[in-house]
Amino acid sequence: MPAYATLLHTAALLVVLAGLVAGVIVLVRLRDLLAALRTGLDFWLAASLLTLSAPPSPRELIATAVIIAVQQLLGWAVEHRPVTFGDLFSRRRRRPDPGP
Amino acid sequence: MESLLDQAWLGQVVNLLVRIVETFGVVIVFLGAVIAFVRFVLVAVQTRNAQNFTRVRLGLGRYLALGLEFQLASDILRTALAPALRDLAALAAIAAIRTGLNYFLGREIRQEHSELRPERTSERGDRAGRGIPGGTDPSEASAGAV
Repeated sequence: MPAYATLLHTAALLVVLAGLVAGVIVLVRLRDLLAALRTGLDFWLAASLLTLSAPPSPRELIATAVIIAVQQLLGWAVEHRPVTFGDLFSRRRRRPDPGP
Repeated sequence: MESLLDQAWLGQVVNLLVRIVETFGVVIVFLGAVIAFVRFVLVAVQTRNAQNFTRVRLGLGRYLALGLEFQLASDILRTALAPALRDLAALAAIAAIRTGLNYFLGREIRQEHSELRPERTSERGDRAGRGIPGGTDPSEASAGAV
């Protein structure tokens, strides 16, 4: 059983690394931080799923649940950004003067 | 004595089944991650189109959802073993996390799929308009999508 758990943890680490590399690739090619973050989050979610498959102690279980919750929250937050950098620097339309 | 022996045998069989089904889930998740990584690299080398990256992410999401289904199945099988209360609590927590993840993942896949669909439809419409084989009429394509 420890060998199975070690194998799963190694696989999870590899997937975390793959997420980092994939995120950097997306960032370099698309120059889009949001897309890169979403890509990395997907891979890290896969790593969390692998970690959950090893029989976890209650402490590990809580830690994994918190990590997954934070990932989901981050994913939701980057999806629903109230303001983007583009909004800050875009020209606002001026209302026409009503005139005399 | 015989019934005890039967119960122990049944427990072993269910344990084995749980291990097999869970391993399937793990292999699917890991393979999905590896395939998605390779596809990310290939797409990055070939193109700069954001839609292609989204398609790869969609594929990864599908693998994760499938792996989660297997893992949930193993959780269901595990409840057949009548575990101790402590194990049951851990099992309930894991099953709750996986069920929630499955829901959110499914929603995300549907959302991204619907974002990609109009572009595919317009691509087909463009092809049909230019007389390229394989393209369909836009109205026909949207009717097929429904």
